[in-house]
Amino acid sequence: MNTLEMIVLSVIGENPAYGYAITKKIDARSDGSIKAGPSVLYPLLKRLEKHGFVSPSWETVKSDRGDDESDGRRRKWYRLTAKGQKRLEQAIKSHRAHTAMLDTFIQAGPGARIEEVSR
Amino acid sequence: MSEHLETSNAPDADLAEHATPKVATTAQSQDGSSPGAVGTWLDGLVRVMRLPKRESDEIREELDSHIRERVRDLMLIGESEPKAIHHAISELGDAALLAQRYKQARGISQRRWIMTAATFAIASGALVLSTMTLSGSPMLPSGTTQESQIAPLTAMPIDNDLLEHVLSMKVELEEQTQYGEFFDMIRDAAGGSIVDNSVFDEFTPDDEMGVSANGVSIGLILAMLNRRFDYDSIALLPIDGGVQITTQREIDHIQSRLVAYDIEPILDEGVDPDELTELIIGFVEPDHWIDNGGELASYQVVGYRLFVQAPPRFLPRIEWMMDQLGAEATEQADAELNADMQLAYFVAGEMRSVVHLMTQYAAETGELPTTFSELRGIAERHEFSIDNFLTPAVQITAEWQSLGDINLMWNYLDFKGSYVIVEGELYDGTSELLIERTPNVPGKRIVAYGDGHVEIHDAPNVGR
Repeated sequence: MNTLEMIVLSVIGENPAYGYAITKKIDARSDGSIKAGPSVLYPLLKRLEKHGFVSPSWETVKSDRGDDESDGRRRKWYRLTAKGQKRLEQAIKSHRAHTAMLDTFIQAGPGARIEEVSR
Repeated sequence: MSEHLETSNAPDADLAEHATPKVATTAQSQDGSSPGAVGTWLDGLVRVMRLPKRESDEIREELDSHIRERVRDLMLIGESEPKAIHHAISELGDAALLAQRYKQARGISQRRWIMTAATFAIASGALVLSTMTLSGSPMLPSGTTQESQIAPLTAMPIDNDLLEHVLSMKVELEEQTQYGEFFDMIRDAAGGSIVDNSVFDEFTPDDEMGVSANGVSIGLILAMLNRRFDYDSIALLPIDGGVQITTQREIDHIQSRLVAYDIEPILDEGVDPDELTELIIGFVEPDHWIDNGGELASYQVVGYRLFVQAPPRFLPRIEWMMDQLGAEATEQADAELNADMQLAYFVAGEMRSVVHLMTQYAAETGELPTTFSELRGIAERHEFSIDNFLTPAVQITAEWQSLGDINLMWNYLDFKGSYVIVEGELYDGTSELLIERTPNVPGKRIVAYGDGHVEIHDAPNVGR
């Protein structure tokens, strides 16, 4: 599973969210180190929707002022499905196993020889 | 990921929700950073995506909402509206690339797979000299070339002595005359015939034709009958020693061939490749293109080449259309295109298919395929065969398996003597397939990107 996919599923799993809110949550949560650009995020959401990992719903936006041009436009919200929850759990499990495996090398300490992957 | 927002320090969602700088995305303007630019950009995206209207409308609405909120946030931190709009649009990047990602997210285009599976061998019909079909239309002189000897359904070339003889032969029919008996008359006129009755869905040999005729030509009778059958019209295909009595559908499949056109002059005129292909499949036998829901003809643009897999009878009209767009500079290129380059284009197409297959597999399973059978399995699930690829069968190496994570770099595949490197992340469409060497295409470096773009370069010394 792609890293961003796991992150997005995780964010949506906490609370239903719409695209722009997801980008901001990821940005804020990672202190700016992970940035989910819209050109990647929205196609990803499309794919997650296609596979049934998230389910969409539309909300009509109404501003407090009433005269705002935002009135009437709609937001697409995403909610994690049971299938998506299962996929997220698998991803987390796989990620932890991968991290644990890496830890066995890292724990060898500074000076331990690290084989470099080369072409 | 390869795409990143440039911004940070954006206000949090709640703050943005209640602060409402006015963003008028519908205003008209001439510069690229005005509110009108948003609508223009979104319109362009929708055009490029070519998705069903409901789906593209939803995507447009979602992105429009995103841009509005993004612009509002940027204005809250001090950017002017034009600058904020420009900023928000630039974050979405190239519309064509975004459209490709959306398409990729929806699944692999079956059309693309089928097209890239085309091989030279399909241009069969060694025994075919020409063919004849009748649809009841007025007789017209042949406009076909030596390479395109099958007549359009709407035309009736009589450039073959045998066909002319058969079609002009006068026979007598009673209402009770059966199709099988009529075919015998054709056989007698041609000196021999082959009939595969299984191709005729509309009747059996024992069915009565219900036609009464006295001294009328076989050609005229066929023309009258074929008004009943549409695409399953009865067609005659001259063969050694007589004619094959079959349907237009069968002949189209038998004679389907692959041709390549040089479309560089057309593209240089500013014509978008999508516009060109939409024009073709919109006017030339629109019902038969896979893109339109048909099952016969397909196309693909690779670089400056347009590959068309279609019966020869389609080609004169395609060529005429391209002549209108590119004048004399457009010509059929298959005979002139260097054989190595033709092969390179095909290998590139196949590589692109492999990228799509791997991407699809990863999307469905979260992992990359680790065996050829897995790759073939995902292909078959999408009704696509990779067994006829010009490229030798894909063998995925142990290295690939050990790195089996789509986020890792420098995975590679072994193509039995030619090496392929997959760089970057398959998922987001930025992958690069680099064929470092291919035995049959010496000195060519083919790069097939995950977004469908393929480049072929001269690279005589490429190696691992």
